[in-house]
Amino acid sequence: MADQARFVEMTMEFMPALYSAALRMTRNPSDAEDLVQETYLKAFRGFGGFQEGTNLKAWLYRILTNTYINIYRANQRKPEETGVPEVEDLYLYRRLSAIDPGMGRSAEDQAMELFTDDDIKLAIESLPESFRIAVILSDVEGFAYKEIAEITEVPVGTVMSRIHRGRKLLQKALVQYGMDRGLVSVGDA
Amino acid sequence: MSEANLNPKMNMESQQAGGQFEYGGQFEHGCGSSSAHKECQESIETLYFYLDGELTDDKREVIKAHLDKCQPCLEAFDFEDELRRIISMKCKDRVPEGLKDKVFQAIEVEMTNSLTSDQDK
Repeated sequence: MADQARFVEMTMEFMPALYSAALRMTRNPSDAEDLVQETYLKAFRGFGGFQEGTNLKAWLYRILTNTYINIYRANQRKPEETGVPEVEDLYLYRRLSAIDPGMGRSAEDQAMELFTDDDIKLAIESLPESFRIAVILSDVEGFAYKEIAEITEVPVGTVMSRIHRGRKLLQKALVQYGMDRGLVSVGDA
Repeated sequence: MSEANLNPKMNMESQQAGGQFEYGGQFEHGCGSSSAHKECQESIETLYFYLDGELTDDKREVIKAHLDKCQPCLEAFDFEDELRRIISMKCKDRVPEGLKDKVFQAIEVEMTNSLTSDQDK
C-alpha cells in the first residue's frame, strides 16, 4: 500500500509532460491517453525495481518510448535516416532575419509572433519518427544526449545526428507554414 | 544554456506578424578575413553541441571566445537558443479531464489483482 501511495506521489507530477510527449508521438489524443495509461501501469509494475535516487523522469520516458514503439510497432530502430533531406544550418534564422531588417525586431520575436502553438506542434509531428522522438526528448523535455541514448536505446552518435537533423527539418517545416500563409517567401527553396 | 543569450526578451503581445519578405542573400558575416570566416563556419557547425552543453571545456572556450568578438554568430546562437525555448514553451498540452482518474483506477485494479493472485511482487 505504501508503495502505491509513494508511486503516485512521485510520478504524478510528470503526467502533463508525458501526455504532451505521448500526443506528439501518437499524433492522436485518444492514443496518447492510452499510451500514458499503459506507461503508468508498466511503471507501477516495475516500480519495485526502480532505484531511488536515479533519474525517475528518464525512467518514465524510457517506458513511454518503449511502449510507444511496441504498441504502435514504430520503426524507431530501423535506419530511417537515409532518404531524409539534409537541411542547411540556420535555415529558419537566415529567412527570418531577412524580414524588416533594422526594424529592431529580433528573429526570435519574429518566430514568436509568426508561429502558433499549433504550428510548432504540427512541425514536430511532421518529422520522421526517430527524429521526432529525439527532438521531443531534447528540445521539449530537455534531456541530455546521453539520457536520450539510454531512453531510446541507441548510440549517442545516432542520437546527436537525429537531434541535429530533426531540428533542421523542423525549421524547414516552419518555413513552409510561413510560406503557406504568405508571411514568408523563400527565394531559394 | 543561456550563455549565448544577450537578449532573452520575448515579445508576447502579438503585433502584426510582419509582411512578406524575400530571401535571397547569404548569411552576412561582419568579419572580413578568410580565417575569421573559417572560425564562423566552425562555430556554426558546433552550435548545437554548444547550446546543448555537450562540448568539452576546451572546445567550449574556443567557441565562447569567437562569440565574444563575432556579433553575427552570437545573434545566430541566440536565435537557435531562443527557438528551442519557444518550441518547448509552445508544446504544452492540457492533460484531458479524467486521465488521472483512469490511471488511478488502472493502478487500483492492478493492486487488487496482484493481491488476490500472489501475495507480493
